[in-house]
Amino acid sequence: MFGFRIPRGLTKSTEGLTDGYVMFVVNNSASTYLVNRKGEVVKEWKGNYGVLGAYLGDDGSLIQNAVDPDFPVFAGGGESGRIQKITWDNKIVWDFEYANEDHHVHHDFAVMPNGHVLAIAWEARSADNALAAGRKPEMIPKAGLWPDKIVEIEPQGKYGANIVWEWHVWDHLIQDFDSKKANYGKPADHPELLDFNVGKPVPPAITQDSMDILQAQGRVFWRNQTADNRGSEVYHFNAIKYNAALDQIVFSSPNLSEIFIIDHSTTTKEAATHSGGRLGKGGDFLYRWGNAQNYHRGDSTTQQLFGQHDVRWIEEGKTGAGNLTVFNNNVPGKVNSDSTNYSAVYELTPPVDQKGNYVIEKDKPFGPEQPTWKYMAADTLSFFSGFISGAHRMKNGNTFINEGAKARFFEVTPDGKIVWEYISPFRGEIRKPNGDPISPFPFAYMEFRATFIPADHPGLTGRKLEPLNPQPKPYLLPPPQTKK
Amino acid sequence: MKKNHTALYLLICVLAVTSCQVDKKDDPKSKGKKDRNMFGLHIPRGLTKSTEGLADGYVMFAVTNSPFIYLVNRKGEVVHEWKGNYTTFNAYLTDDGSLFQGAEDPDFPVFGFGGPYGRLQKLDWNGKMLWDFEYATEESMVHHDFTVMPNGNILAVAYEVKSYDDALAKGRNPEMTPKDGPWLEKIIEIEPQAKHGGKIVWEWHVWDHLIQDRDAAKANYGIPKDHPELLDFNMGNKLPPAISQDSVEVLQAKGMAERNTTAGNRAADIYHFNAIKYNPTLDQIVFSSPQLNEIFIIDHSMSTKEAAGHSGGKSGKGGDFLYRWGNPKNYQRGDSTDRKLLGQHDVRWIEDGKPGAGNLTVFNNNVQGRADSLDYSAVVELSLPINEKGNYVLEKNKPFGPEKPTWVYVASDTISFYSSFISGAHRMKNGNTFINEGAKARFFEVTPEGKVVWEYLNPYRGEIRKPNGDPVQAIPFAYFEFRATFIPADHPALAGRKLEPLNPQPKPFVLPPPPKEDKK
Repeated sequence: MFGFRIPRGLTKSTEGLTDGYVMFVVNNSASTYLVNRKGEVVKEWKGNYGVLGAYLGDDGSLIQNAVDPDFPVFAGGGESGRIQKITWDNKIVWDFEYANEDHHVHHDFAVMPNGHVLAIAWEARSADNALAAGRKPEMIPKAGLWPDKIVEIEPQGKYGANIVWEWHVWDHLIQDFDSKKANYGKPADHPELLDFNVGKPVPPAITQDSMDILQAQGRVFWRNQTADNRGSEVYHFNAIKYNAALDQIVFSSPNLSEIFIIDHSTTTKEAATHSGGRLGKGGDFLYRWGNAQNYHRGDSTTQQLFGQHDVRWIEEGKTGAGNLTVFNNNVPGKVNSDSTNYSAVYELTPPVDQKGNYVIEKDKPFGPEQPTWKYMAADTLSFFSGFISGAHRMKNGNTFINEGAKARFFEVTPDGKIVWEYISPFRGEIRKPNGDPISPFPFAYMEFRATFIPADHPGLTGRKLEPLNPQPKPYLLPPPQTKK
Repeated sequence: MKKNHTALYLLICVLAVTSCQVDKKDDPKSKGKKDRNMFGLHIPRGLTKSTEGLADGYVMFAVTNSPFIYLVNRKGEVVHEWKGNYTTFNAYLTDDGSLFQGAEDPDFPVFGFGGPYGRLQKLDWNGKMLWDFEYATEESMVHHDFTVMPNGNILAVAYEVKSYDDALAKGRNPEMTPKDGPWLEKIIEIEPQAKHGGKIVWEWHVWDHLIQDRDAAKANYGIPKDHPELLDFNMGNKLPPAISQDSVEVLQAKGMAERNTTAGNRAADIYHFNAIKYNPTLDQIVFSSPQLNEIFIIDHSMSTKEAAGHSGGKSGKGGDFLYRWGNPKNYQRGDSTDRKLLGQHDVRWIEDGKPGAGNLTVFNNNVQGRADSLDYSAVVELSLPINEKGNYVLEKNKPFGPEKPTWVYVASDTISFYSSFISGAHRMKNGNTFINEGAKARFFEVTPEGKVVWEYLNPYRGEIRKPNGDPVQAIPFAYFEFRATFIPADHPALAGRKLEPLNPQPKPFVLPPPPKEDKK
């Protein structure tokens, strides 16, 4: 799945391609590259910290999320902690840290037309708070929970920002576990709310000493993991997009295997409630899809999404405009075994009526029953990334896919034919803050976000995009160790 | 004046990756002068001298550009290491074998200019992080040095930003005031709390002890000469010639300006306190300002409120200076010929039971030679002018004594012992003095007569990179050392410890060969 020791660089090209570039972050680096259709690097942005994802602005600057080197408390993957703006000439003009003991931006963000940034963030809630909100005790880690929120950030000066709007999943919970606790009700009757007792129980307890041993052995994946916060990262929102025409937000929770749409045309106060906004529902879910079990209107056979990433609306002017695309990471294979799981890219047509409401029938789950379009490998198995990854529709109707685990970027036609393919050969040299190297196994080349940038993107207007000379050095994985 | 500027420049860029030699090279005055190799590049390292009859013990020091603290025995073998999570500059050993260290916060904002760390940490003997306290915000930041008190609290030196307007209101000359506001100094007493917390239980601010004779309409107006217990707010250096923010960024891109440097904060680090020690018997604090070329003693036996005033405490003087030494020009009781210290580091009391107990030692970095390239360093021991009541005696219109140090170490040729920045020294029980010549990380022991009886040069350098993966340039700061401490074998922390040489020994750092142009 990680694509070790496979040929890298440009591996397929065909006639008649749309002119453009792939923009992607070099793994374990502060660099974002633009690669042309020949597989040549034509542009590098370089910041001051490791970068997770970047989006190109019309002026050639990037908004990117960078990994804060000393964020406290939170853990779980995709921790960034900083959102930055870096100009075409590599000047960091905004470097906003949102990483303290109470909250932490992570994974993904979306740039709004007005220049604000909608970002996903964890917020810390105590174990007592979770209990009072009706969560089952066995599902509450001692350190409490880190449910997600969405913050709208207005950049201020070089390091500052105003939070001008926010939405908290915490305000949209329901539970049928304890009638004496808050949020009591029937989840099946309230698909607009999240059943607070959906999810996994806390992993079996281990002592902090055992945790320290694991940490010393490098077997604890997340920096701030403790014995008490295992399981605190409950929803792991990993993608967010904003639809300006609808003034709505879509986001993804792979832990719930569901995507959600909420209204943004509310005040922060309304967003904390169940009324207000264009559609009158406040901050409640307008739409959800992928796992109807979560609202008691389905079972495991009706689950459609499995640990998905990168949900997006197809933009105006593109084939399927208004539909959603999503990278479905872990579609179960026929054998009840991980090794036959595969990935797929789905295109969905949300069930919207003429008033713009998302239609749901009584006791039924939200539609559609089937995706409008799907991509999967002909043999199913050869396209698989169990985590990260993404996809988006191109203007020519093709779909651009990032198979993240191996950093394979490719373009497929509507009928699933691959017309271009490039596998990132690059890896940067960031080390741990104490100078220790970061093991390249297994994440030697992985990619969270890769984006096709058409040659006519305003950000590229008037730019010379000659291949860098010399080209950056590809990363060669050390030879496999032979162990007795 | 020029000399002073050079010394400060070296101080300022002590921890920058930029080569401070660039400036010297460009300075026409230094053309044709011999490179003294102050940084000790390409010289033999490791144990370079040993003699009979040494006191048994170890040297503890932070490995350059690393999270490591090493204990090295008298044979030059590493026998123990502590490893933290960030770059460390200095550590002090406690009786249980744990250590407190200053660690460099990887993303501290606003401040800079040498010796930033931002975090205080405690590691147990096995390197487990017991305490990791970040004190690095836009308003204040711990830096350079701290000292552990007998009760386990920590006294630390910290910057605090004051605005341009506030500084002017206090009577500071606008020509000396950076637009982004100067960074004053404070001393905070921290009571460690849990794993990441700290309670500030006492503080002292230099801001509360200023005087100025520039503007009668502003605060603190008075005659500095009549108030040696206060700091003349208009002492110190002029601002460097203004440059634009764009130029700052050009310098930053070239690695010639620090990360947080702005056009408006150059020279904001006006006092740069670089050493602090606590004397529990006297309940007093000594600290050093290389920018002022002075060391100061203040009382600690009072409340934070009293420390902001001019009365209270055992001495009755509140937070005012009880004593100062090194540069009486600062309080208008001397001129440049009376200056005794220049860019000094590591002031300490000699502890009870050691020869010279109660005296101070200080590493005087820049004793002026007859020309720039003849500057040298010295370690001085001072006997303080204390009367029977414990007061520091000062005669009318005279500077504080002593006029001369009680003891001085300089190299016999003067110039072969020289570190224009960092460095330190402390008295040993046997009466010898242990010296860290920081620029080249040369640690050596000298007898009262100035004979070198043991010498070791740190051969190690860690592999920390910048947060974006770029390497940290090794030249010129390949091996430098802020603090090295002799730990006697009978230190309680070592009781019952096995101190065998690590096997294998850490790999020495070998500097890439010098470029051709370096030939003499």
